[in-house]
Amino acid sequence: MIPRLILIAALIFSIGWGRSNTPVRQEFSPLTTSPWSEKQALWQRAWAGPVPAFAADMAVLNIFNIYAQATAASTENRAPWWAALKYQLQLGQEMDPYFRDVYRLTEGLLAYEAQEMQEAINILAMSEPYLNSSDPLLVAAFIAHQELKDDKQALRLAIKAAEKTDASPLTLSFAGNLIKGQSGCKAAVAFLRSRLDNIPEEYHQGIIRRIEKIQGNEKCQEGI
Amino acid sequence: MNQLSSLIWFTLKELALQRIYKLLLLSLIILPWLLLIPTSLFMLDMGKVFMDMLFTAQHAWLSAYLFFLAVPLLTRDIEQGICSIFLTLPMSRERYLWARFIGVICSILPLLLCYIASAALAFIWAENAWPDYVAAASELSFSYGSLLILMPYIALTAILFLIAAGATGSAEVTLFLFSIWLICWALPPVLDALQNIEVTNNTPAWTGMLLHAIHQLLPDLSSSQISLRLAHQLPLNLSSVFAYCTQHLAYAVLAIMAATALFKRRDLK
Repeated sequence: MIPRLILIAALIFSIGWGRSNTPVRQEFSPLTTSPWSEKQALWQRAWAGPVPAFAADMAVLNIFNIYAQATAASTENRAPWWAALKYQLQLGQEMDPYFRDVYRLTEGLLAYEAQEMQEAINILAMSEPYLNSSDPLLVAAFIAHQELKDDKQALRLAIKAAEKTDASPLTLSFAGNLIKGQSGCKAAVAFLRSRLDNIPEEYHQGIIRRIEKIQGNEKCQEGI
Repeated sequence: MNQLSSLIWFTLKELALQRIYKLLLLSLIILPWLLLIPTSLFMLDMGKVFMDMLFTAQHAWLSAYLFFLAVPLLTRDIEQGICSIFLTLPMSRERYLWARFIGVICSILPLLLCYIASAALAFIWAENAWPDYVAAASELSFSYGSLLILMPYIALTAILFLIAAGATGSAEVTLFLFSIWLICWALPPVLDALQNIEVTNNTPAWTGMLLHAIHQLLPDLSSSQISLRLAHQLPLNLSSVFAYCTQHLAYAVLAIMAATALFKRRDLK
């Protein structure tokens, strides 16, 4: 009886000793840093089976973890984490293209933390056939205009955003401004007028004020 | 008819009285409330995330039910000769197999009802707690989706009976059922991906043909589009839903007919 108790005590002690001497926090490294491809999509789809939306949820949870790890790492060691972040965002978008959290994280993290502007725009633009909201397209247009100084791309995205049913005066004014910059005041006014029939009535006043502002602008007087 | 209903009732009681069944029932009542914890980590589509988790959990527990309750019941019957007790009543082998099949399916219903009821209450709570992030009446979409997700598992249960009708033991039944479950899980999304021109060009033609042939033989577990659309409150095409239910129920009936034909010829001594 006593030898058995001694053996049990020794075993419990061994477990405790083993646990206290096992490093709790190891050096983490991102699981995937490879670029997203069709082959990856195929494997991920096969793995997700009938629950691809759940795979998208898991991708978002992974993104939170990746972001925490990236911000804990020094600036020069963050590149692999940003590659992993991009992979998880693309996985999330592929698995559930209707999932708004993926687009929201793309706007905030991929564009402004990882500084992957064009990649962020590409993912945000993918929302077009799936979401009724104009927000991801508006942000994509804003990034293209503000950060990449690519007004051609910004205009294309802003027009797509303005075509959405929930497009607010902010979206329409932004698209109008880009048109004004590229094609002149007349085209901007024509664009804003054309949108009046497709937006809720409560937005009309805002758009009309914007049209009047353009028409009242001295530089625009000649063009209109 | 009386024999049939008696054996169905007996199967239901036999399964329901097992401790694992009661534990599963209890877990299914608690699970939706526990899933609210990871749901709260998300930002915008919280109702969608909660529904995804519930659907995934449903796939998991339906698979667990098949492997840990239905497989042991059926293999015990055949390996230990318990089926002989029913067959000497006298009851035809065909009737025995049908009654067992219906009994196994009916035993899922109390589990499913408890799961739906608990999840619906959790949804109502979530709609009040996070009104901007959980769509109203999500519990109805979830209940609808839950019933639809059950369909492929009815077909898979019929496959289990087909395997058990010819297999020699529980290890064989489990191995074959697991293999089929795995193929049914992974094959439909792979076939969807094969419709992509880039993937098609990079895949040998014979691979595609082989995968299509296997897909024709096995039940289709691909309820992914249904659960995806319901989670986002998007409408389902009624004719597609009807076709989906028809294919699984027809597959189940056909598999049980094949199982009875095999079981009739089997030497049970």
